[in-house]
Amino acid sequence: MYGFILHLQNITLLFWDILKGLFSRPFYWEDLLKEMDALGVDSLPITVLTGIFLGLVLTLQAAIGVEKIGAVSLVPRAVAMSLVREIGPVMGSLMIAGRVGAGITSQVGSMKVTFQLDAMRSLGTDPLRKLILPKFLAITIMLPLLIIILDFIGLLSAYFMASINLNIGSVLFWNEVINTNGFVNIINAFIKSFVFGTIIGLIGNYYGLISEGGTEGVGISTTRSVIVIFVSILAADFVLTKIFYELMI
Amino acid sequence: MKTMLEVDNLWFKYEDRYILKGISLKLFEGENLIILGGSGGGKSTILRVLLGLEEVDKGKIIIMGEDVTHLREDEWFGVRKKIGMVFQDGALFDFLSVRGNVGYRLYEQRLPQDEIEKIVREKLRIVGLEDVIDYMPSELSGGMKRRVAIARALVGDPPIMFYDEPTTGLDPITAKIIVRHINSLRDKFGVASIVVTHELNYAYMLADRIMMLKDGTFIFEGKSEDLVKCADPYIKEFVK
Repeated sequence: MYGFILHLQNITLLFWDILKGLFSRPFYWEDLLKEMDALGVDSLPITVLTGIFLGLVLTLQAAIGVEKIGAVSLVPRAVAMSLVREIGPVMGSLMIAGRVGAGITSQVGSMKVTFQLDAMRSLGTDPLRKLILPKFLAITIMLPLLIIILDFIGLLSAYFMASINLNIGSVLFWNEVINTNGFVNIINAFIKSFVFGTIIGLIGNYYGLISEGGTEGVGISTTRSVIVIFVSILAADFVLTKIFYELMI
Repeated sequence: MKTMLEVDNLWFKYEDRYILKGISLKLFEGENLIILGGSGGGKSTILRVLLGLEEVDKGKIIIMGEDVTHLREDEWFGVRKKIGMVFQDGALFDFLSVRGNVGYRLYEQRLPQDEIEKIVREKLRIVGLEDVIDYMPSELSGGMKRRVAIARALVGDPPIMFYDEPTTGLDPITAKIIVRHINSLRDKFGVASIVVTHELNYAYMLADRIMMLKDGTFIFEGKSEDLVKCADPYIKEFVK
């Protein structure tokens, strides 16, 4: 329990330092753009693949439930609702967290145990601003955008599955999707993925910074980082869903 | 002789254990000061503390007349421009080429590209590695990495240099090249250096003065020849 509280305290302090870094100089714009490319754009293949398979599976799952009562027209609504509000942000974030969270921890951790972070400080650069902040900000900005792409790809693949397997026409499908996914649902997904991105950036960096004990230590930190990110995303999802439920949005 | 660095009664604790127990030392202009000692004795910690990478518990550090003991991290960045640090194994940034590593400080200062290129080549020439300017650190041998690290530390012409185990793990020929570079920086540019090592042969080649660290305190200070004659049982065993 003591260890948990200590980690929580240190993560909070790191978050505070990052926030302070956001509003003071120097700010490394070039590094931010590079990280947005490395953490965000390079995550597109995994995002697209996740979207495709989620759309296909959700359509079939929804069909199993409603086909027996002859209500296949409910499939688009069920898929759109679950994909955009819940499954897309959560599954997409978990998939991207596996790649990005592990990547951040292993890179920062390797630099820590080989004294590259100390070398950076000795050369007059603050690693928090140069390294940590751009990574944090990059995934926080890019994850919501990736999730929107995932949702769109997911809906496209759901449409193809619905039209081929369930003979649902395009007018019916897209009308249902638009009627279901109002602006509120998209905002809902956006807020969730923004929070999940913050979690990935914060915890990924934190576990990198506390790495010690050579390459073996970096491996242990990376494993812990991914586990903590996964559990934190699921916990945050519950909290956010509860808040949205209470606010009826 | 001008005092470049002065440490007085310095204490440093890691977790619950004191690593440095009231050490004092002076470093003079154009001098190679060797800190000798066994593994885990706190040698590298001295350099980390003097560079502001660790916070001291007690004592005083004065670098070129400025009391730096309790500076904030952002205040340390200015002080560190006066010190070049060569970490054990070099600690080169593995995502940057040799050019990027050596010119790191200059890129951060946003100097013009041609000026950076000129300085980087000049520093690499000093360590005899101008031809590897486009290599990545993963393509270099251990000795080359140390020499690139020396070139990187030399950017900005710092009057003080710290070396953490600069010859450890290197073959004798490469180690002697490193020793020659450290000595030539002293002789040509009057650089004051602290070299932390446990390798006696190279310590003798480098030393103007030697200090021996044991369990966080200095138990000897003097010339190489005095170290050999010292009656202390630990030192006798160490130099045997």
